[in-house]
Amino acid sequence: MTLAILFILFFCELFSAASQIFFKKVADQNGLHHPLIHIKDYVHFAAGTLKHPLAWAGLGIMILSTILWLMALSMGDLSLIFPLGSIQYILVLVGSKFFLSEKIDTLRLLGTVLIMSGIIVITIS
Amino acid sequence: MSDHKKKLTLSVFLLIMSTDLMESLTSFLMKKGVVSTELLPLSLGHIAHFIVVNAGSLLIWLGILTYLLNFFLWMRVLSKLDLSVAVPVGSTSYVIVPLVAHFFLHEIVTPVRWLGIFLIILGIYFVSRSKTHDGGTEVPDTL
Repeated sequence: MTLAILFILFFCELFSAASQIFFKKVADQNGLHHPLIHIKDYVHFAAGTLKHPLAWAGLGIMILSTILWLMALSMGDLSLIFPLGSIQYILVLVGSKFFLSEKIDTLRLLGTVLIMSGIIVITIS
Repeated sequence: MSDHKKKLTLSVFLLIMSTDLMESLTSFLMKKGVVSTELLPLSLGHIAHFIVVNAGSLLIWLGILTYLLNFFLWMRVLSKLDLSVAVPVGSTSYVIVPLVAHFFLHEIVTPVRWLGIFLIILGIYFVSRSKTHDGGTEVPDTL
């Protein structure tokens, strides 16, 4: 039973991290860097996002992840599930390095670990 | 290509904070709005029933609206920052929600939770000070 929850939770966080990587690719590839000043800039920005297939793939994976999250919540101990969910920060860090070629320096790694520890402390207590 | 182009500026940080706040608002609306939670055991029939019953809730639709608005805000954040900066920094709700509860709702924040809040603030500071070496496109510092 517990193993099943861990399994579900892992894929939930994996899908969530994957969707973030998709979204980041959309943001990078789509020339979304122009300043947004007029209403039409905002519409243009939203349309540019939705034109990208990866944005839809990301949203689809995000929905899957949400369903898995709700399943995990309904199955298990919340004071276990919330802290374990912070594994997402590690998955995003690893994904950013390998799929987005982001440079992770010591400060960023240390900061992310501190944030994870903080979340674990808050959600366990 | 200047080195500071993907730095976490105050305006982008405030944008991240607003996505965190709107995420909390979405959760609140969904939680308040959900009429039926009969989703388990997961089957097509249960999912269809779940969707049909909850589609009648105005709060759920408001939640979907704030979710979509937030999606575009978040895309804006991602066009300004590395993902490995945006995601960790996007945990400000773990700090803001207890602080709001403490100062406005007079809820008690235990010492252990203060420790957690302190760790997160320190972590956000570290991540925001980390180096970015990026060969990507120039990002102007405007929202």
